[in-house]
Order: sequence, then structure tokens, then C-alpha cells
Amino acid sequence: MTSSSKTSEKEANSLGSSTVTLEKPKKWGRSKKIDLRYVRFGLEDGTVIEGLVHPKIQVSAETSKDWVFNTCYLIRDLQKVGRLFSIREVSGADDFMAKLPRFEGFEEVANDPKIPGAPVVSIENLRKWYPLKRGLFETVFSKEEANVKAVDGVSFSLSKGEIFALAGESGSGKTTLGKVLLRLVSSSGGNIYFLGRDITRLSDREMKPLRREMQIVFQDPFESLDPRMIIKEIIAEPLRVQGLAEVDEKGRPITRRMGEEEIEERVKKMLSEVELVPPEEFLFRFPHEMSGGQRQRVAVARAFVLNPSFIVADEPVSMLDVSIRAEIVNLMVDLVKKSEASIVFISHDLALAKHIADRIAILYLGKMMEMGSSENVVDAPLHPYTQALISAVPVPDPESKRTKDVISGEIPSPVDPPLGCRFHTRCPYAHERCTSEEPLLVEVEKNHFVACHLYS
Amino acid sequence: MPAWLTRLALLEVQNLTTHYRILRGWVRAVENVSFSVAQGEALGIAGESGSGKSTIALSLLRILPAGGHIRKGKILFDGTDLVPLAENDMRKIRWKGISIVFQGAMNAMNPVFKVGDQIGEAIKIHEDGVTSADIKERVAKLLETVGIEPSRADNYPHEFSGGMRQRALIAMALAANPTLLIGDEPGTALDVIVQAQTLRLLRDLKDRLGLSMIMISHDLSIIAETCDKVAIMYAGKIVEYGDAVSIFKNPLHPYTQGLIKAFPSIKGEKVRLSSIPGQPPDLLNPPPACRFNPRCPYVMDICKKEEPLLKENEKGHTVACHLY
Repeated sequence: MTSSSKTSEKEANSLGSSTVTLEKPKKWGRSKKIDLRYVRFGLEDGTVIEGLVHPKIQVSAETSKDWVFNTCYLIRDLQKVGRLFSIREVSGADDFMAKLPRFEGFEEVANDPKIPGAPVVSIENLRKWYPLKRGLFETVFSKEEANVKAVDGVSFSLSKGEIFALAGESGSGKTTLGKVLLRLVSSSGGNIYFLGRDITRLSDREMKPLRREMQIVFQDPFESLDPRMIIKEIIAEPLRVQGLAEVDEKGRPITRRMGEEEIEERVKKMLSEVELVPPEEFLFRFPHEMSGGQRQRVAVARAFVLNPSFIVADEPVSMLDVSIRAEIVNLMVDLVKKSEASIVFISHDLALAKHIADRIAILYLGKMMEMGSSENVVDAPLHPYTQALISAVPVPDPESKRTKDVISGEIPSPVDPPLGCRFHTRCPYAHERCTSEEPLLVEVEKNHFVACHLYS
Repeated sequence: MPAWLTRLALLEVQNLTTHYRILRGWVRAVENVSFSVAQGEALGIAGESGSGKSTIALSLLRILPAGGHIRKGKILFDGTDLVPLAENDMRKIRWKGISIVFQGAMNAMNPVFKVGDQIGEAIKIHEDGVTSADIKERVAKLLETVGIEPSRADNYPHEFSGGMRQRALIAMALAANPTLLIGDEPGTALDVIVQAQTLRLLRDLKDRLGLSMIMISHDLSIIAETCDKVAIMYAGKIVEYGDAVSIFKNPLHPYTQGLIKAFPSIKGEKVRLSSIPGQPPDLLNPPPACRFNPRCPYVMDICKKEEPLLKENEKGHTVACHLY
């Protein structure tokens, strides 16, 4: 970088910032006035970014472009405001402020942000507490309510085409989190944004068109397929329920019912994509006529038939034999890459997660302990819990060191999780602070987050 | 059979063939399987589901479900053949000679009896003239061996966590001081950390009590961590058998090679997983000659005509494949 560009950068950074008041439209719920800040700042490469940001977001000279794009993820036509802030990249400084009075009829954000790096799903402080059933006596006389804190304040965001693994022991809340992400169970707190839209409190009717975009693959292919339906019907069901997404002459999205032939065509195409060939041979089979691996392929085909942009795969291969496991995993990875869908891959198998996922998050008792790229988390784990998990994974090498330390005990009850750091009861490095103060998830290295007092 | 296999064998299985009778014919679950376990040795039997590994365990104890028959072969335990043994004599072998830790720690115990009583029952049945005070004392000792507070003997299984139940099952298997312990998928259905605790416990017990062990698992890494010798099973047959180090370092059979490659290792580079195409055969009509030929990448004409026999390739490593 030359010194002249440095000066121009500084100049660019001070391009402008002022406040605009926006009224949130009624259909988003309570009407609320929010002061958005209009900012415009220049970057090293000469581009200028301008837009509206939430007042809480501080844009300064140190702000990187990536950060802006990832945090203020809606860079779009300023007539549409999504998460109450938007920002866009422009070349040159045109008369931006003059356009502002046109912020009147805010539309809901369309479903497909075509912005690179924009998160498909992001959650903030998501919680799912299941109330414990208690007798009348306890309800009357004890004030405190007991809850199973299955998911307790988890935040992350998922970008397009990303494979994100959620790992942890049973009881860590990974399956519950997967279900809450899809709104299959309602959340108890926090927000879920799907394609830029807050879906936390949408009604079932409002959710239905979004279901096209979000699908799930369950763990057990022996139970997740209806034994009385033929394969063709199993894969066609999402198509019959959702119809075909099209755009009418005016460019508005509509759905159309599909004809029988069209459906069969689509099902056949899907079957060959999951390598059940020739498709004609499988169309009229029942699930019991297929092996476990083939059934899981059907489950994958059913999830991908609507071209979703977000998929939750809940331990999709843990019930399968080792020799078939790799095939199904590779198939899913290929489909994800091809369709650019994002996938949350729930798994207790860290070795598998390492090989397929871009990022891994480790959950323990409903809290995120560590999150980072799969290489970082598995090869250089920071949190003592992650270290314990990884050293407990058996290695297929008889000569590797066998006398390793295994942490003692088992995962505590999520009803009454330990105070402070939830892992302190089993942690070999626990000190006084761990028993009283809960560690926050902080970025220790670039894109490597950990919630542990050893690092803060 | 090579000399190193028979040396000091506590258990010697020769040409064991177990089939299940069903309406459509015989399911050839285990065919011509031979192996041996020496005193203080751990043998791992690895294979996919349906490869017959659990059937071997059930055959050794002669507790096959209805329809299962040992059709051929010898099971020599401490010199006596268990196959023709009368049921009454067999009962004396079970638990005192050979005992088993079943898979599914969650369901293997009776929910309406106290854990201590269930462990004590094994002692009561297999030993004459023990007093209930003796039993209580021994149960407490057993629980201590597996790392459970002896006072928990009065708890019911639902009051135990998954890992503790697995430990209690191990204590139960040790109740009558067996010489051979069979672990049928002892780590499956447990979390990694609890699984590691269980495996470590089994390893310690083996060293401390001089037990012989047979570990049955689909997970090669569990076997690599606990066993000295490995038998790889495919469709009811042993395809490769030998010393654990040489099998893992130098797998010879194409199936073993595929299986090891299909296993993601937590160490090493991030790679695309490889798999074995196709699926295990139907054991009602297994493929002729080599049962792996429809899935084998190196298949030759001879593989479809002639059955390969287990041959010693190098010392302590036998393989059944025409490539060698």
C-alpha cells in the first residue's frame, strides 16, 4: 500500500454519517421507530460502501469490508430494508441522501438475497427451555420454575453453501437446536433469521411457503419413511404439498400445482441424483424392500427435491454400516455443493465432522463451547471440553498411545446446570472463577471462538 | 492351522458353521470360521452388521435364538468341545467360563430389580453354598472394581446413567470369575467420553485379572484400541485374521483395505471419504466362491469360480484372497 492511498482511505472513511428515522411497518408487529445511521465509507481498494446501519453497529476506520458484509448482511436496494439496516457498495459518491425520503412502503425482504457472503440462517441468543411437569403441590409452593435448558443462548450464522457441523455428547442439545432452527419446535427466546427475515414468531401459515426452503434428513431411515408409501410417493409428497415455484409475468413468485407426469419426471431425476439407478426400478418399491443405505438415499432425495437452501441433517449416517456411511456422506456433500444449499450437520462423530464440515461448533449442556473451522477445532482445540472429546475418540491405529487421560463423569442434568462455566465440574483446569462466572464466547483467533476463562 | 494360532489356546474354534432356519431356507450367518484366543489375549472380531459377528458370540455360549443351529465345527474351551455338551453342563460353562457383556446398556437390565440383586443373582446361581452376606460383599467388591460406589447396589437401573449401567453390566459379567469375556459392541450407543471410559475399564480389567477377551464391534478404531489380534468378517466368513498391528498397518484383503479407508480418522489431513461400493450380500443366497467378489475392485475370473482359503501370508497374518 502506498502512502497516497492511505491518505485517500482516511478521507474516504470520513465520507459521512448522519441519522435517519425509519418507521417499522405495521405488518412486522409492533410499530417502532428506529434511528438508523447512514454511513458511507471508503475502503483501501477505492470502493465506497454506503448504506444504513443499526445504531448499535459501529463502523469505523478499522472495520473490514468482510465484517460489514457479514454483519450488515443485506446489501440491497435501499427501498427494501430487511434487518433494519442495509448497506451497499457503490462506486463514486452519488447523491445518496436525496433518495432517502423514498423510504416509505417498506416491503418485506424477498426470499433470496443474492449477495455473496450473506448468511442464509443466523440465530441470536437462541433458547429452548422445556418446562418440567410438576405436581400441584410443588407448583403452588415453590416459586421457581424448573426448566430443562436444552438450548441456552446459542448464536451463529450460516453462509450460503456452508457445511456447519454441530457436535457434542447426547444431552448437549444438538438435536433440539436443529429442530428449533427449522421451527419444528418453537423457541423460548432469541431470534432466528432465515434469508434475512425474522422467522422466530411466524405462524404456521406464514411458515408454510418457507418450508420449501428448509428441509431435514432424519437419523433413522428405518423409521423416517412411511412403510405404506412407495418410494415415488415419498419423494413426490413435498412436491404435491408445496407445488412448483415459478415467477409470473410481473416477476412475482407464485406456486403452481404440478401435473402427474411432471412429478414423475422430477422424482426420477432426483432418484438418479442420489444414485438409485435405474430410477424405474425403485419408483414402485416400498421402503422395506430396500437396504438401510438405499433408504437413507431416499430420505436425502426427499429433502433435496424442492431445491431447499437450508437443510438440517440429524446424524444422517450414524445408523448405517461403516462401508456405506462414506457413500451417503459424500452424496450429501456433493448435493450441497451442487445446489449451494447450506447444511447443519448434527453429529457426535468428530472424525466424520472434521472431514466434511467447513466449520464445527461444539455444544455442551445447551451452550456453545467452541466454534471455528474444522481444522482449527479438531487439530488445535482450545476448550478443555473439546480437547477431552477429541482425545476420547478412538483411533484406528493399534500402535497409537493407549494410555490417554479420559475425563471422568458424565454430562450433568440440563435441569440444573452447574453455575458459572457448565463444564467446570469435569474440567481438569477449573479454578475459582469458573464456578461463579460464566465465560462468554470470544474470538481468540480469527474465526475461532471459545467460551473459556483460560482465554479471557 | 499354523502353530502360532494353537499355542496356549484357551478357546479354539474350528470350522464353526452356524445357520438360521427360516421359511425360505437356511441363512448362512457363519461359515467355516476358525480362530483361537490364548490366555490373557484380546481378539477383536470386526465386520458390518449382518456379517455374523454377533452370531459367533451367541454360538460360543450356545444361546442362539430359535431357528439358529450350529451345523458344523468344534468350540474347544479349555479342552472340552462345547458343541455336543448337554444343556446342564453348558450352564456351568456360561458365566463361570465364558461370560458376555451385551450391547445396548440401556435395555440389558431388568428394570424392576435392584442392580445389586441382579449382579448377585449370577453368583447365587453359579456357586453352591454361598450365603447372602457373602453375595452382598462380593457385589460391593465387583461394583468397586468397575468404579461404581458400592452403596449404589440398592439402586434400580433407571437411577443409573448410561455409562454406569454399562459398568454394572461389566460387573455382572465378572460376577462368577470367568476366564473369557465377550464384549458384544460394548461401546456402541454410548457417548465418546463414556465409551472411552468403558474401553479403558475393560483394558484395565483384562490386564489386572488376566482375562481373555473377545471384542465384537463394527468400529475398527475400538478394536484397534483394545485388541491384540483381529479377525475381519465379511458375509459370515473370516477374510483376514492376524496380529492387530500387521492388519492395520498392512491390510491385505481388499475388503479390509476398503473398511480401513472408509473410517475417518481424527488425525491427519482432511480428505474425501472413500467407500466400498455395493452392499453386503443376502446370506440366503450368498455369491458363489469368494463372497466379496461383486464388490471387489480387483475381481478376477478365479474369484467367481473358486473359494479362496485362509492362507498365511506372513507370520501371524492370514488372508483369504486369490490375490495372494
